[in-house]
Amino acid sequence: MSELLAFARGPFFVLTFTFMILGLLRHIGLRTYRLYQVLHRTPKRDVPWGKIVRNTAGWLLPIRHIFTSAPTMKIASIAFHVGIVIVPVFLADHVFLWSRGLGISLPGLSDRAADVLTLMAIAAGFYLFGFRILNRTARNLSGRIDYFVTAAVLVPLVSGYLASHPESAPLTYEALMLIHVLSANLLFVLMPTTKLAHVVLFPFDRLSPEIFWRLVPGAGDRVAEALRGNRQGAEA
Amino acid sequence: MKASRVRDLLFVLVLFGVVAAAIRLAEGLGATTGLTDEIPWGLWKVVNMVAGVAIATGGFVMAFAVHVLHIESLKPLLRPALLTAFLGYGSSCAALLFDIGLPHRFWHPIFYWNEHSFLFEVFWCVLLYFTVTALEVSPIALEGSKFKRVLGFLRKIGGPVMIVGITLSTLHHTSLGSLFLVSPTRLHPLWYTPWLPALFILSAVGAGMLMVVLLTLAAARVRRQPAPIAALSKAAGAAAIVLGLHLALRIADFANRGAAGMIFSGQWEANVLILELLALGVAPLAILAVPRLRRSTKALAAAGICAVAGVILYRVDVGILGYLRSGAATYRPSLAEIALTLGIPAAAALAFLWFVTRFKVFTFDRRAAAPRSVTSFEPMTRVWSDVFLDNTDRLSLIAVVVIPLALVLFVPGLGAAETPAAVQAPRGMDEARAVLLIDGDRDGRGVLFPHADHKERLGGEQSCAPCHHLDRPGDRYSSCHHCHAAMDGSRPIFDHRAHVASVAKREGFTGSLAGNRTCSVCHLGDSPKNGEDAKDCVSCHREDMRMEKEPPSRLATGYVHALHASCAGCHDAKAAESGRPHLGDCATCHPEE
Repeated sequence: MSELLAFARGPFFVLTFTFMILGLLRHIGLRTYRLYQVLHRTPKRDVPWGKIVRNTAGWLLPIRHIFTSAPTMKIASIAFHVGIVIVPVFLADHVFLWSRGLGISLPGLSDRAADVLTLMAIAAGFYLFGFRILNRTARNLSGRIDYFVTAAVLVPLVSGYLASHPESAPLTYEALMLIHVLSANLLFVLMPTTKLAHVVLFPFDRLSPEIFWRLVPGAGDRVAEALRGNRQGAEA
Repeated sequence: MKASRVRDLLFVLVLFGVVAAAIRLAEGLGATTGLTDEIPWGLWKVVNMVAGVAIATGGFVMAFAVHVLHIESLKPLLRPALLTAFLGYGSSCAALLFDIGLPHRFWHPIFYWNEHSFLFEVFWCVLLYFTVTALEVSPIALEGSKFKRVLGFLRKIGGPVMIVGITLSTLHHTSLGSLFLVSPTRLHPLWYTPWLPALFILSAVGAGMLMVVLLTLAAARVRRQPAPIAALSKAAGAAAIVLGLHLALRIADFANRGAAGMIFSGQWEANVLILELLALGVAPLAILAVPRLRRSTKALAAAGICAVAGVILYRVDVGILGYLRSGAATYRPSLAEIALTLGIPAAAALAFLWFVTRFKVFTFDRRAAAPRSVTSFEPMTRVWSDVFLDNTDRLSLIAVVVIPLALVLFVPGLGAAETPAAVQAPRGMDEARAVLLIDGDRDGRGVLFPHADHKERLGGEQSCAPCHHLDRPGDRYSSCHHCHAAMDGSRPIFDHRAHVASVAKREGFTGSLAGNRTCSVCHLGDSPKNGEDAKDCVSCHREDMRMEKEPPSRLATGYVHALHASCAGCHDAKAAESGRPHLGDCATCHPEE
C-alpha cells in the first residue's frame, strides 16, 4: 500500500494537478476568446461593465441574496464554500506541500480553526446532498453526475479530517491518506471536466448573459427563429 | 482513417515533442537523453538530422531532373519535392538545435570558423541549402497574393538558386558520409569503408525520390484524387536505378575489402546489415523491376516504405549501432528523446498538410481553400458555436490531456516526495557535552541548551525521566531525535515490518510466509488488526525498554513541536513559581531572533 500511496502522492498527483491547472486555464482562455469574438462582431458595444462587475462581485459572497428563497440552503452553501476554499489551501499540512512543490509560501491555519471549518463544510455538504435528494426542485434539476460530484467533494474532506485525527479513526492512517489523496486527485480531474469548472467560470457565467442580451437590437427575434429551427433566418 | 484524425494524432506527437524539448532546454542533454561519452550520437543527430536530410533529397534531384535535364513528365512531382526538401531540412535544423550542447550558440559557426571540421562544412551546406529551399518554396506560397514584385524577383533568381541548391546538396550529402571516415577504428568494419561518401549520396538520392513518391501517393489518397501515376512510375524507375547502383557498389565494396564473409558471420550487426540491404536495395528493386507493379499505387507505396525505412536504418547503423561494439556500451534512448525524435517529423507533417491545403502543390489541388464559415446560432447547445475556429476546442482539450502526461512520463520522480533528512543529534559544544547545540536540520539556527546545568539544578539522575520519557529497546535515556525523527510532521515510532520479521524468528515460525502467522502474537482480538487491539510495547519489552507513561499514539510528533512542547511547557510552569516572568518567552532560548 505504501507504494500505491507514494504513486498517488507523486506522479499521479502531478498528472492530475497539472491537468486541472491547464484544463481550467483552457476554460478561461476559450471563454475569454469567445467573449472577445462576440464583442468584436457586434456593432453596438455599450456594455455596462461597471454594473456587471458589481453584480458579479455581489454574487461572490451572496449575503444579499440569502433571503430571496431557500435561505437554509444558501447559508449551508456559503458555509460549504468557505470551508472548501479556505481549508485545502491554508491547512498547515498543505502549506508545506505548497512550499515544497512550488516554492509558494502561504500563511497556515491553526489546527483548531481548520477542524472547525472542515466540520462546518462537511455538515453543510451533507445537508446540501440531502437537499438535492429531498427538495423537489433541486431533484428535478439534478442529474446523476451532480450527485456524484457533490459526494466526490465530500470524500477528501472527511478522509482528511479523519487522517488528522488518527487516534479516533476507523482506518489506518495510511489507508485514510490513500483515500484522501486519491479522492483529491479525482477532484482535480473533475474540476475542469464537470460543473466544478465554476471555480473559474463563475464570473463568465454571470458575464455572458449580461452581455449577450444587450448585443444587437432584435437579437432576441433571431434567437427565436433559430430555436424554431429556421436556421436560414438565424444566419441571415 | 479520416484526415482530421491523422491530424489529431500528429498533434499529439508534436505536443509530446514540445514537452520533451522544453525539458531538454531546462535540464540539459545529460539529464534528458540516454547519451553517454561512449555513445555521444543518438536519435536526434542520426535519425532526425543525418537520416532526415537523406530522405529530403527529393528537392534537388527533382529540380535537377526538371530544370537541367528538362524531363517534363516529372514536373508534377517538382513542387511536392521542393516542399519535402524545405520541411526535411527545417526539421533537421530543429533537431540539431536541441542536440547541440548550448542551443543559444547555434549561430557560432557563422562567425567562428573551424575550416578543418567536416561538421563546419555540413553546417554551412545545411544552412545555405535550407535558405535555398525556403527561396524555392516561397513562390508557391506567394502565388496569387498581392506581393507580385517579390514573386517576380523570386522567379527571376529561381534558376541560379536552383543550381546553388543542387551543388550544395551534392557537397554536404557526400560530406555527411565523409564525417564517419574520421573513426576507422571505432565504426564496425561492416560499415566502415572509404566509399562512404559515394554510398551516402546514392542511397539518399534513391530513397529521397521514393519519399516524394510516397508523399504524393498519401496526399492523393487523403484528397480522394487520382495520383499522377505516369510521373510517379517514372520517378520510381529512376530511383530504382540509383538504388541498384548503390546496392552494386555496396557489394563491390565488400568484395574489394575482402569483407564479404562477414555478412553471414551471424553477428547481430551482420543480421542488421542484411535487413538493411534487403529494405534499401533488394526489396524496392524487386518490386520496381516489374513494369506492371511500377504502375500500381500499392506496389509503389510498398517500395517507397521499404526504401525510406532502409535508408533510415542505414544511417542508424553507421551513426549508432556500428559504434556499440567498439564502445563496449549500450545506448538506451530516453522517453523524452524518442518523443522529440517523433515530434519533429510530426510537426513537419502537420506543416506539410497545412501547406498543401492552402497552396497549390499537387496537380490535383484546386487553388483556394474553402472560406471560413460565418457566425451562426446553434439552437440550445452553444449560443455562438461557430464563433470559434472549429478546431480550437478539440485541440486545446488534447493539449490539456497530453502535456501533463508527457511531463510525468519524461521526468521520472517528478512530485515524488523527497524523504526529509533525518533529524541530527544535538552537537556537544565542549568535551563533556555540558552545553548542547540543538539544531536538528543543521540550518545554523539552533538553540544552546545547558544540559549539564539543567540536570544539576533539577535534581541529578532523578530529573532525566520527565524529558527522556521513553527509551528505545536496549537504550538508556534515548535522545529526542531517535523518535522525533522528522523536523515537521509525525513519524511512526513503531516499525511494523521489522517486528513481523523478528517476531516470526523469536516464535520459531518457518516456511515461506512465516510472517503471516505472526499476527495473533500481538493482535489479540479477532478484528480489526490495527493499533487498537495490539499488545502494549512493554508487554514484550518490559526488560529492555523504560516507559514513563504509555504514549498517546505510535506516531511521534515533529522534532520542533516536541521540543517546544517539552521545554516551553516546563518553562511556562516554572515562570510563575520561580518569579522569573520572562522564563517562558521565546527570547529566553532564541536570544538572537
